[in-house]
Amino acid sequence: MAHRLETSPFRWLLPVAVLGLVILGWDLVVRLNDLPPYILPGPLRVLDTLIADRDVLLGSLMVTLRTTLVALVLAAVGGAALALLFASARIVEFSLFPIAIILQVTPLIAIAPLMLIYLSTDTAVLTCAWIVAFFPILSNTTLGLNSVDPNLRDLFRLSGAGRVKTLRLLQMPTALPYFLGGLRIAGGLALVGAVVGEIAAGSAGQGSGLAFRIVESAYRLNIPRMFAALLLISLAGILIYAGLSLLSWLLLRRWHESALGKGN
Amino acid sequence: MTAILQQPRPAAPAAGAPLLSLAGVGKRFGNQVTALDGLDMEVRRGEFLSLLGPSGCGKSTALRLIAGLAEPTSGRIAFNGNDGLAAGKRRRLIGPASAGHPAIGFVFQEPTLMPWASVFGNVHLPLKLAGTGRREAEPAIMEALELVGLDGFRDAYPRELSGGMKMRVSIARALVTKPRLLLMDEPFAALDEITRFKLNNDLLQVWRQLNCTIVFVTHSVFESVYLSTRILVFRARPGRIAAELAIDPALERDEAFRTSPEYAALCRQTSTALAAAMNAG
Repeated sequence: MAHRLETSPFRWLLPVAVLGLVILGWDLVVRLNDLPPYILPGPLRVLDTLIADRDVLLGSLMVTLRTTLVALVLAAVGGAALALLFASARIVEFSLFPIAIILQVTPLIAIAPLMLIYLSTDTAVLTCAWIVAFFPILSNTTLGLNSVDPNLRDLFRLSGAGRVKTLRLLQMPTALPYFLGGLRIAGGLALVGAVVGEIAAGSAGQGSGLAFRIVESAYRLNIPRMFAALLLISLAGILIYAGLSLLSWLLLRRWHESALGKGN
Repeated sequence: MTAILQQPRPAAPAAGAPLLSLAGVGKRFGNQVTALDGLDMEVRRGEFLSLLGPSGCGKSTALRLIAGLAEPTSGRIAFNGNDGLAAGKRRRLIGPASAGHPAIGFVFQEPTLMPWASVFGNVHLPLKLAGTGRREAEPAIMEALELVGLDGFRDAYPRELSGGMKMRVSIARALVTKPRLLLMDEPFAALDEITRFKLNNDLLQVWRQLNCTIVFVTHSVFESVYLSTRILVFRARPGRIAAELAIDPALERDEAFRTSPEYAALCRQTSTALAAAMNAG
């Protein structure tokens, strides 16, 4: 039975149906209580606002998405590069890893105002997104580079492989699934970082990302637009996650357990 | 020491001469665990030598020392009469078929394949690490795959193969450099009996065809008697050799041999030696 559920269309229909019910309930609550839109707009009102304000909102979506993606790419390159450096020189790992942890455990929302003082608004928002996306990639890739099968390592030694060849042909392929796992976490976190940065920048900046639109709409009591912007942020998150899952599947489908069909 | 049975009859002129020898070799891990102590043994050219013993008797450690994957705490290991050299240099003295290739093939207890590479890519690995490109290496790779009967699976990935097939790939990878010495660490221990018997036969055929020397670690009396020309029985704590048995290399190793009274008698003798070694430890 459990196996049937895995493959049947119910697997997709069930969450969609639950989501539909929630939206329906939301709509009923608004209609039955005759709630005005500045207290709680109904789902149709949110959709109307989304369409009516599409120029402003889609422009903001692009700004937030761009910040998120640039931060993610920089975090992926930086995190992987630093992990490679860690793997080749333990002394670097011992000196830098604690600093990376400190950066990770300090709440971003507390660092953001400081960064806004020293950096331009755009750079500060980008840095916020980068800081949170960087750590999962660094720690996952480091874990992967250190997870080499000891027998395979012996085999490389027996074959007279040097450090560069061992890194390239053994450690990096071993670390790839770990790196991609980190990237998937980082994708979501980069969006969170961008939103936190935009909210911290608030009206001070001329930034026009989605989170900025939320803050701005709150000041104007434009609640339907707040919901519409929130909906777009959520969609952006889903889009990023789906894209990174696809990338992971494309790279691992031939060999890694995570990418194999359940029927195997 | 109990020296019993027939003297091994040399199969080829060069056979029987020592390829490498261990003298008074000891290996300690940390300050407590003594894996080996005062181990004296030699590996002769062209033989099929089994190291037989209970778990923890240091037979795998001996194999790793021979491979140069670990250094002995005491004693000497000499290859072709040369000692006092670094492990990498020692290994080269065994002499590969062509220069630059590893002289020793090593087969682990697990197949130890790279899951991200195809069968072809996995077998290519030792040659690739020695700087031989894909196209240049292809004849050697296909030859090794044919030896283990997997030439039809060159593009398969390890996850698509059964346990026995993975082990065959692992053996093909060890054979691709045409090593003079093949070291095998309980390679068939995790396989079912049917697969194991089949691989035993195939391994003997490869050994005869390539005319190489094999050192085979096992804890199975039956496997060691079936395969070997000589068996060293290890005792544990500390690990050293308790008995040596020679088996006539001229004996035909086939299914008839498995059920012959001769085989049964040899197994009984080996079992007795092993039991005595275990009691002594």
